Amino acid sequence: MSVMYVALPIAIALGATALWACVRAIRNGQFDDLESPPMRMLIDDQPQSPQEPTDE
Amino acid sequence: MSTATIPPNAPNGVPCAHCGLPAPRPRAGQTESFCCHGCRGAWELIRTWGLEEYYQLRDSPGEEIDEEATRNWDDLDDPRLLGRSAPLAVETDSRTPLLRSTLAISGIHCAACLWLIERAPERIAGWHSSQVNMHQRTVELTFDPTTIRLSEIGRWLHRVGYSVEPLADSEDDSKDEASQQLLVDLALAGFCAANAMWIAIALYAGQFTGMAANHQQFLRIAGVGLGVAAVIFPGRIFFRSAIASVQTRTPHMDLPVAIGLMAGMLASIYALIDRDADVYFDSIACLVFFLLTGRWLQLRQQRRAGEAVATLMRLSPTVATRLNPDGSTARVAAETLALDDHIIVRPGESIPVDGTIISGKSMVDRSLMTGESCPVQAVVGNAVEAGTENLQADLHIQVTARGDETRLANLQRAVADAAATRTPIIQLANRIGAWFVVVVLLLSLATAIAWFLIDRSQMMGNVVALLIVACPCALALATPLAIAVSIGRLAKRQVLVRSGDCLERLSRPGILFLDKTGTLTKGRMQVSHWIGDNEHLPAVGKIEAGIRHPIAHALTRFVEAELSVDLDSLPPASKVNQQVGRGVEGEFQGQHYRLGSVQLLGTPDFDNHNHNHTPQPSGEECLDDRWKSAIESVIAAGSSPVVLMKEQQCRGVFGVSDPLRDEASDVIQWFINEGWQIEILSGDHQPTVSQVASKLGLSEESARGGLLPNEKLAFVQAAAGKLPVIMVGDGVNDAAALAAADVGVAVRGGASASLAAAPIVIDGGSLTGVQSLVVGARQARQTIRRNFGISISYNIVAVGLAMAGWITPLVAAALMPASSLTVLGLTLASPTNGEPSKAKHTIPGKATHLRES
Repeated sequence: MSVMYVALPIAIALGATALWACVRAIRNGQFDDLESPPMRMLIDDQPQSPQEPTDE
Repeated sequence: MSTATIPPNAPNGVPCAHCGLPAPRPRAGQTESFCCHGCRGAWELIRTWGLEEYYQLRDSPGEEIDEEATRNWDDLDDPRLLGRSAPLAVETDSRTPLLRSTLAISGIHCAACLWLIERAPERIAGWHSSQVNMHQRTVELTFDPTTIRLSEIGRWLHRVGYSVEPLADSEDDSKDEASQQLLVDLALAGFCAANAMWIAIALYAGQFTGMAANHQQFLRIAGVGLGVAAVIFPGRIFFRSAIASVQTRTPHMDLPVAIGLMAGMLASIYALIDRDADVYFDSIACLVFFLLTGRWLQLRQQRRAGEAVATLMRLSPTVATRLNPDGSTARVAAETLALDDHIIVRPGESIPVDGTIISGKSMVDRSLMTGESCPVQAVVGNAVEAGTENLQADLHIQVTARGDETRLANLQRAVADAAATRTPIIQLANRIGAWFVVVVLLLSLATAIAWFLIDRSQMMGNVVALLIVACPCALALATPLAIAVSIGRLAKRQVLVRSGDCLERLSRPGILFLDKTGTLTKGRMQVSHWIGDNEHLPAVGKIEAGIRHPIAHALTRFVEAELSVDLDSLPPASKVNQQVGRGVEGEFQGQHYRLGSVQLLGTPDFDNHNHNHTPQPSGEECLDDRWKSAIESVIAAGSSPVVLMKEQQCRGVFGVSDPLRDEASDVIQWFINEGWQIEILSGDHQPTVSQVASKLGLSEESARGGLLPNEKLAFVQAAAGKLPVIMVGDGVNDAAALAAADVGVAVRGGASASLAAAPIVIDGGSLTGVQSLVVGARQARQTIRRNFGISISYNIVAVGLAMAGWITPLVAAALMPASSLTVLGLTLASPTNGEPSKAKHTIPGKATHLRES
């Protein structure tokens, strides 16, 4: 059972990594607007001329 | 002679293809009909772009296009006037630098709007992209400054019904940060709770199957570490507000929660040292997580409502046109103006400062300040206030007060004061919850003493089981969850609730104060009577078309609807001359016409226009009995008469009035039936207010007219404290009263100050919203009570069992989430029936047509 001394910290560390990623996403503002992305997803892209502007 | 046969906006009219408002029938050869030129323009533009799909995508009709707006879009090109919205250069690989600006946008309501705005750049050269943020109601525009100016984009967007404004220099960023911080805390608490839970399961399992003591201690250390982390990091906000509640001596739910958390944490740490005792870090971590979840849900809903309101606000103009001594003009930010500076206010603009008119003569719409439905005359020497609107002609104004010194700013300060002094109502949750943990702690002490005497070995287990089952998770969730659900449901009915505790104040009948102009009435002049021959109408339409005055708009709309013609197709009127406060005259097809009030008839010819029909018949002479009786009948019906004269002969009488909202009388009746007391508080003239009251079936005493803003405030303050007081209004003159009332309800379309003052805003502008609000509040209260009932009876039963030693900590831990889940499920499944149906589009009142005999 002494494997637990290794397994538990690893499990916590894995969870903490996910938590870190989540906090980063929140700080990045990814959760600020929960309304537009689901709507944008429903909009089909139109076959566009090549000079379609890109945002970034 | 014939009279009108088709009433304007009659039920047999068709919806406008763009905005859905009633419109005249389509003209010959066309299938679509439009209520106004603005909507036709928007529809045609969208077709030209090839984006007609918009009309299939959208789920509610667009907004009416305000073609009258004479906004100075050029302000968008001056970065100094844009504040936070000033364009910034974007790094691109191409040689030309692009600019990006974030602007507040209004008019967006569904996915189709987003689609349209994000697609439009593909059709316009130089406009590279637009990115809509539905939540904050902003749009990020990227454009090539060498090809297109920001003002042009503003104009394009305006033509399809969206209007952009520079972002206000508000605390939006700090609000975002607060919300992000809460979400981070929630994530942290969730992490601690989930991990503490599985460690707890391992420990409970270990109790049954046996487990090495060192392993057990290791798990306990890890678990307590997580529990303590949950209390110290995300849980700190409870301690902070508990300390505040002790300092201000106001009982608050956070106080018992903080005591509970502290007790749980200390007991767990003690148990870590004393190996025999149990640890219950998992319940502490879960408690923090659940509490934060409830808090976040409520905050999210309130914030959404708040954001929606923020975009409706348009403060008094921040930009002014300064007249320099050398005669040149410059657009400058209003706060940079000095006293005694001269400014020019164009017709259609709001006045940015308090001042005195030094030249010019115009009509000023003061309805924001006083609630008066008719514009007043403004001549040299008159004082004008910031926030009022100049309607007719250029005014040169000498600045006497600006910024914080204006009457508007004073009024806004009065609003803030009224809001600050309102007695807080202690929430049900706080009243009950305040002593919850104290009682639990006393009970656990009693249990410990009792079992110490009965059986020492069972003492610790029973105390722990009691503390676990008594965990106030369900209690903590009950109120915020019910309120969040109610706010969400009300938002679907276009009632935006910005402060959840308002809902608790509406549970019993009280006094309902209503403003008149714009709240009970539509706030928009309409022709209610027309007595005369239709052959004169084209002249009326053409002469009034260029005039900026509510009555002129009413007449033009009436003529267009009545004749089903496009006024543009008619020959123009000439020599149009407007006499402020009296009327209009002009020539149409060689004939001389005059339109105006009854007094106009008695006046001699308009000053310098030399017409060839002197001598004038005096006013009374040209009115025979038939016209006199027509005028009397118009006045008797509560409308203002407008007389049409052709070549000095009376040819017709219009009745113009601000009609009641269609739902007003039903809603008032509903409130009376529910036992509410109803009063009208208006700044308008007493006879007009009495007329409205009698139409609504209210007594004379309940109609109070001619009130100044502070008198409205006095009425509300006198009534507050005894019964719940709702104030419904829309003007700046209502704002202080809105803030002082237990619940202030602002009607959309009103002044920004009233929107800012009221915790609740009815977005649809329909009075049925007030009804939905009261019904929704009642349901929220029922839900809260039921939630409390469930969680408290659960706690009583479980605590009793734990004290008797009938449940082990393991069973208690399994029971703990059960009550939370019950509360959650029942709240989400709470009934929504019994709410009044939403009248989405009101049917405009039918004009009465009296036959000219």
